[in-house]
Amino acid sequence: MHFETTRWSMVLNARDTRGALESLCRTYRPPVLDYIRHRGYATDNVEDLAQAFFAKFIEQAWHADADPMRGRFRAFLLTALKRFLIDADEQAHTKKRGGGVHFRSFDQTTGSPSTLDNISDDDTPEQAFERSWAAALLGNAMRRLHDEAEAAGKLTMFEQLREFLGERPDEADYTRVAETLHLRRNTLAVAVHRMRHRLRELVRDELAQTTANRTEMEAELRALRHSLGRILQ
Amino acid sequence: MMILSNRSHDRFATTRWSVVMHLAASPEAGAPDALAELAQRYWFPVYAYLRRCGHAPAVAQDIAGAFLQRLLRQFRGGSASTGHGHYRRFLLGELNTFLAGDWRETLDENTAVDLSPPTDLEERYRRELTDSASPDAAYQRSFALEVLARAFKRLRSEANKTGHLDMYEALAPYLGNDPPPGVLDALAPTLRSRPLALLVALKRLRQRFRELVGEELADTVTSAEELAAEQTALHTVLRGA
Repeated sequence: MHFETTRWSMVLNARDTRGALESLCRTYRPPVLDYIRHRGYATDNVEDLAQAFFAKFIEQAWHADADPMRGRFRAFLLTALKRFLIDADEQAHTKKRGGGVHFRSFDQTTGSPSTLDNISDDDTPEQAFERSWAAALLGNAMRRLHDEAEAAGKLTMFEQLREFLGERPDEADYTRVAETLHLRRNTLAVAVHRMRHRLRELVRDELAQTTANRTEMEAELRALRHSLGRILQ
Repeated sequence: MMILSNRSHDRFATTRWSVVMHLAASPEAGAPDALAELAQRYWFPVYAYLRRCGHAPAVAQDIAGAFLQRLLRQFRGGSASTGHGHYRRFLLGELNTFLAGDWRETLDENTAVDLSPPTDLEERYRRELTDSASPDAAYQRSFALEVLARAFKRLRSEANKTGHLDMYEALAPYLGNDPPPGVLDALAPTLRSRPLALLVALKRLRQRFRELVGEELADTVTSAEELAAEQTALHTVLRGA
């Protein structure tokens, strides 16, 4: 894996910085939204806050060259987001609740999580951010797997096998899908194993996109292992 | 440690893996049969690896079957690279390559090779691999256990041939650990022997068992150096459990 061409490395090396950073921010917008939502801001402010945050972040990100968090985009982004929200709160205070930021009361659970079904309102903002991050990362890896399947004319097979990626299929599932695809069951079983393997490769590649080197990537893999769940075993 | 002599050189020239390695270039000369025999013998570690990857029993067996078929087909077609080294490493390397193949590639389903999976794979897996080690560790451990199991089987068969099956059955539990005090005294009358004679018999059984383990391992290597290394590796894996 060549880290010099991953997106976060490009940002750190200031080559095509803006394009690479914007691409990363697009992918990881949902965890930012989820974090803000779990901090208790009113639903109608969440989008505006995220928008303002990303605008500021993209302008300022590469100036923070002494930040120890910069090896990992996720930690770097979260730190920047927390600082941004503190500033936003202070401004709102100054305006004595006349500003654009409103807190919702905590007994209201308005809005729904944007990404994973299992993001619970019991999560801390950090947990919500991490789960949502893992979901965004996995979503990107799945999209790439889908595109690879499409390019090879194997989209039907992909659609049939994708249900096996998250959960361990039992024997009956294999038999059913093998019949649908007119394949022997062992051929199908091998294909499922290989597809999981490919997905794991893509997940690692996505992780590499947000880290500066292999050490950081392994640390990120350990940090997200729980949220990524059974995909990584 | 074995001494590398002409005799031991000759010995390795006919072990299964040596035959595979030396005849790899001319697959019609017996190498496929030797590889098929090894594949059949070491089905269990492949199965254990796949089970530990999270596959259901029948699915793990399906994948193991597909892998071994592919391995033998490639070998018969002359497209397999045996590289160098012992069979344990070769097999795991080939398995990893097979599993990491492109999922979009359809397997060749038409040229079946005659292989039948052992019937007790899942039973052994449940009995012998009770920890939650990685697929790699499960493979290494089950490979070592297969070597021991084969040596035990041959030891028993030899005892049967020489009419000592009852003595073997009585002493087998103490091959690994010394019997507690009094056990041999208690066994002696039923075996119509003396405690001291049983102690000698136990020592001989252990010696023969070690030889048989060596013979099993010799079938998976090509030199005395590799055999010594494999014996060390076997002990390390079993001690680590």
